[in-house]
Amino acid sequence: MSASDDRGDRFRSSFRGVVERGSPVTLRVDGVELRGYAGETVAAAMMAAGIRSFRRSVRDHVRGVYCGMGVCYECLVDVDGQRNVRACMTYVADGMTVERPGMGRSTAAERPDGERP
Amino acid sequence: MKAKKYGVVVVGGGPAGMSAALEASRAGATTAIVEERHSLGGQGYKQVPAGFQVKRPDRLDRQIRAGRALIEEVHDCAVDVYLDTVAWGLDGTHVGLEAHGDAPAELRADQVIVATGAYDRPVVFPGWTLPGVLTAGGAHSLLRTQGVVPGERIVMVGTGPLLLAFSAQLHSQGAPVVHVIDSSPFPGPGAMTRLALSARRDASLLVEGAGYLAYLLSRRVPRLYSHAIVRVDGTDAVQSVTVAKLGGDGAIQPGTEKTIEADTVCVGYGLAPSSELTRVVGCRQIWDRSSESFVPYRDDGMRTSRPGVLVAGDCTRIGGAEVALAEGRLAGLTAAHDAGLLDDAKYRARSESEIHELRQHLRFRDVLDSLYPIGDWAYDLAKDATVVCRCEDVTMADLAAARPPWVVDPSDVKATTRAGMGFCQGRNCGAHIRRLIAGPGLEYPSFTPRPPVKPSMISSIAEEFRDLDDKPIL
Repeated sequence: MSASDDRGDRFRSSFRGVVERGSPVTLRVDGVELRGYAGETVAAAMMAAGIRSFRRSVRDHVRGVYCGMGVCYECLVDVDGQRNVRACMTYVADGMTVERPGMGRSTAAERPDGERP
Repeated sequence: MKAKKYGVVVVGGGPAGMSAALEASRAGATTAIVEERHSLGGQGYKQVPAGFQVKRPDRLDRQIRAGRALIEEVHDCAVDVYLDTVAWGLDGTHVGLEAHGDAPAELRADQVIVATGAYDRPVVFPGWTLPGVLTAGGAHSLLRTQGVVPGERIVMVGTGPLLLAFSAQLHSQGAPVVHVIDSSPFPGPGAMTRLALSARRDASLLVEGAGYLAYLLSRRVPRLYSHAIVRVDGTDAVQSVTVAKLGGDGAIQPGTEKTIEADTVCVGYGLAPSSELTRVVGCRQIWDRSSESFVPYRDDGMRTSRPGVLVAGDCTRIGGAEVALAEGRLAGLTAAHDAGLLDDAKYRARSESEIHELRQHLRFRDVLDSLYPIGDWAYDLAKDATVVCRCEDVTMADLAAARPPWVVDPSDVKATTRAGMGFCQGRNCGAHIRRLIAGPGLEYPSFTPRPPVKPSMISSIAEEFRDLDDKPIL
C-alpha cells in the first residue's frame, strides 16, 4: 500500500474535464496516509490507492468491494472507531482513520487451514 | 422515538420513487422520500456525488442529466427528502427508519409506495469472493460517479443490454476492458426483427445499444458470445478468469474452456428485484420467470394486495429507467386518487395513458428477457469448496451436509448452516440455495425477509439501547 499520488491518479479518471473532484483530504488506512477528495467514498479512495483487500471474512478469506452499492456488506471496515461501516456508502473526511478488519494478521498461505474458495 | 405523519411515503429515491413522489405531491398529498444513499437518483440515474463539481453540465451524459432534472423537480416541490436513511421495516403503512440525530425514527403514512429498485443478480462460481470480482453495477458506479478505474485488466462477463452498455461506458472512460464475455448468442436477424418490432416506445434504447456495439467494434474490444463464466482463479486477488462455450442445449460444453488473464472481473448477469419490504408487510407475491424470484403482485394502478401499499420500478420486475418512471407516475397518481385528491375522471384520463405507455415498454422488455436468459448452467458452477453464503462463509460442502429430512426449506438451511444469516441477509446466496432445494423450473421462494431488512443500529430502533451506539444488529 502506498500513499503516493501518482499511484492514486493512475486509478483515477480525468472525467474529461466535465466533473471536478472536491478538495483534497487525507485519511489514514491501517496507519498509512492516503489522498482522497471530498465527495469520494472510502471504498473509492482505497481502490484509487490500489487497495483491493478490505477485510477478512469469518473463515479468514480476504474480501474486497463486490456490489459497490450497499447491498453485499463485503467492504465493511472500521471508520473512526465505528465498526462494520460500508466503505462504499461512507464518504471520506479529512483526518478520517480507517482500519481493515483482520488485514493486519498473517496471510492465508501461512495458515494450516489455508482454505481457498 | 420521534414519528412523523405523511399522506404518502415513498421508499427509494431512484427514477420510480422520484416520479411517484412528484405526482403524489402535485396532487396535494404531503409527501416524503426515504433514500438510503447520500443523494437522490438511485442506480438508474446515478449522480455526481455532492462535493464534486460539475464543470460542463452540457457534456454530462443522458442518464445523469435526466436524473438531475428530476431531482431539481423534487426539490422544487414540497417533498420532504430523508437522505442517508435506511428504511428497515414496514408495518402496515408505517415505515421504520434508521434515524440520525433528531430525525424521525418512524414515518406514519396513509399510503406507502415501495420503489426499492434492484441489485446485480448474483451468480455463484468458484472464486467469486476474491477481491477484484465486482458486480458490473458496482464497477460502473465506481467509475461513473467516483471516477475510479476498478483495475488494470478488466474482463466483463454477463449478458443483456447492461453488459453491453457498461462495457462500452467503462472502456470509453478509460477503463482497460480487455474482453467482453456474453453468455447469450449474438442476436441474429430474427431476434433483431423481434426487438425492432417491439421497440415502439423504446427505439432510442435500441439506437443507444447499437451505438455501444459500434463503439466496442471500433475499438476492437474482443468479445465472445455464447460463453459463460466458469471460475476465477487467484490467491487473495484475481489472476485469471476461465470461461467456456454454451451449447445449443444451454449447457457448458466440456473442453471449450478458455482462460483469460485479468486483475478485475465484472459480473453482470442481469438484476434481481429488491422486494424485501413488500414481503415483510405481507404483500401477495407472484413468480417472475425472468429474474427467477417472487415479486409483489400489483394491479393496473400499482396497488399491491395490502391496503395502502403500492409499488413501482425494478422492485416489481426489472424494466429499466423508462418503465420505472412510468410506473412511478402511475403509483403516485393512484395514491393521490385513493386519498381522494384526484377525481375519477382525471385519474382515468392520466392513468390510462400511463398504462398504455407501460404496456408498450413491457412488450419490449419481454423480448429483451427472452433474448438474454440465464440458463441452468449458472447454478452448476459451484464446487464443494466454493463459498455460497459470503457473509458467513458457508460452502457448497456445508450445504450438502444439511440434508432432508431435517432440512427441507431455506429457513432450515439458514438455521442449520447459518447461510443467509449474515449482513446481506441472503441477498447474495438466497437465489442459489433456493435453486439447490427446488431444482430447475420450480416456483419456490428464497429466504423469508425479516425486519430489519438491512442491518440497523439497535439504538435507532429502540430508545433504551441509545447507549449501545457502536453495536450493529441484524
